Amino acid sequence: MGWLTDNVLAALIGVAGALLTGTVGWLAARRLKRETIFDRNLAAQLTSWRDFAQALRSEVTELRERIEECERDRASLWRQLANRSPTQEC
Amino acid sequence: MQQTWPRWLLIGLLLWLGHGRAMEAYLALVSATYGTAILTLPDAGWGSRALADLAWAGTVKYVAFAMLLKAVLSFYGLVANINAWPASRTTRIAGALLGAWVWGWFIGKFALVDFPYTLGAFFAGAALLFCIRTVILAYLNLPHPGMPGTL
Repeated sequence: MGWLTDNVLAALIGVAGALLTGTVGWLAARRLKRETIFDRNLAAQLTSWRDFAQALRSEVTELRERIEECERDRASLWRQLANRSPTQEC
Repeated sequence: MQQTWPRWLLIGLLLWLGHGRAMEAYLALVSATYGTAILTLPDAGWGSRALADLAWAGTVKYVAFAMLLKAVLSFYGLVANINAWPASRTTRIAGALLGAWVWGWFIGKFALVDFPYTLGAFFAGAALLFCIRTVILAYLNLPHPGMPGTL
């Protein structure tokens, strides 16, 4: 065959390859999309772990504030106790 | 009993072979470097069994243009996927399909000029398979846009 025929045929084979790639890729992707495997993919896990870490952080902040509040209450109670008169009934 | 092996084959291929950006980048790099070589080095076209006749006819630059366009599309698609920029899916799929055309052209040409068992032909065959995988991943918009790599 001549060089032009070779190249035209090769181009047609290339078109067939691209069509095959597109069709097989699309069908496989559609099938995989129906499966639930990608619900558990790393990206989803990463996002949920970030959310979890964020929730944990705000929980810790809230707990710290409550601890400080308790410390203040305790100090106040100790002051009241110290100022109590010896004759005062408990 | 329902046959489930093709499903597990597909899932296995996707899960075991990493998240896909590396192979996509590798194929784009091959296209970019080979396309540049064909355009800039006078002997590059003559060095391949598949391109020698085109080098003789003076039209080898069109193969280089196709490869460079594939590289640009794939690289943009990858960078867009890494940075969560728009049009990542479209450009990745377009790059993979153009790549599949180039690799299919090489396979066909090697066979037509009676050199089907060269390294280039086998490389093109493997690259074509990975283009299918790129289409699957890009269609599903995976890896998740903006997600860091897992390698």
